[in-house]
Amino acid sequence: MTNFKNPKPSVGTSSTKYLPIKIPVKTKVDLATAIEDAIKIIRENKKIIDQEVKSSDANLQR
Amino acid sequence: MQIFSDKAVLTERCNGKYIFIDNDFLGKLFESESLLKYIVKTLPSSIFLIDPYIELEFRRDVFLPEQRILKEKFVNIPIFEAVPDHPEIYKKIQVNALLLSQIYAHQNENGASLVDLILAGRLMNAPFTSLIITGNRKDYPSCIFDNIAIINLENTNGSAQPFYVISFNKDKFNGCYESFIKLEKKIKI
Repeated sequence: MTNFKNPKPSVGTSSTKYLPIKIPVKTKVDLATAIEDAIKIIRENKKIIDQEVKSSDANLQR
Repeated sequence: MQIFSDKAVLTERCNGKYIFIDNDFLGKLFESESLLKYIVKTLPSSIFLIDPYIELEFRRDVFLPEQRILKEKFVNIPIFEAVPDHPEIYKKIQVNALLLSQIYAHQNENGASLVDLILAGRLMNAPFTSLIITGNRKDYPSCIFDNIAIINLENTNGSAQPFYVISFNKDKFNGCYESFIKLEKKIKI
């Protein structure tokens, strides 16, 4: 038994609405806040990577 | 990190569309503040979608608990939207992925991973409203997909890393599909 019997392509048309849910409209404030939050995460991640690099360098030098 | 890209072309052709982010681009956004700001400000009306399999690829195999938490927080910021897995849509995506993989093989364009096939299947299902951003152009062969825009990033060693915004070309697909089906019809098993 197959999951894909006689498969036919499903190519959307210009009227195909992709998602069945409504995506909330983002305001400029929402986007600005989201960007700030993302930047904090990116900077935190960089700190972690830098710490890991320093500690592995220190281990190599021992 | 310097970004070399035609902002006007990017805005004109991509703003307002659903944009599926491939894992390599998501990883780059996670590294670079300047790229994140550039993309969000250049495409303020676009909706950046993360497929569940892309999220899985992004969050898998992380050793440090701090990084695991940061990655989870990153994909949850409101810049990104999760793709809802509606069963009716997902069934179509799976069939599209299967057919695409067979067409790629017929066109001698092998190598796309399962996740890339799923993403391509999603694009195929809504070609007029969506795009993909990816760093690996080979995963979306030009026998079916077109470049809409290219974003070049300068790495720390001075080399350039391109990311491609691609669209599904219905006419190209129909051509490939027809020749694929003709071949199947000739075979009698």
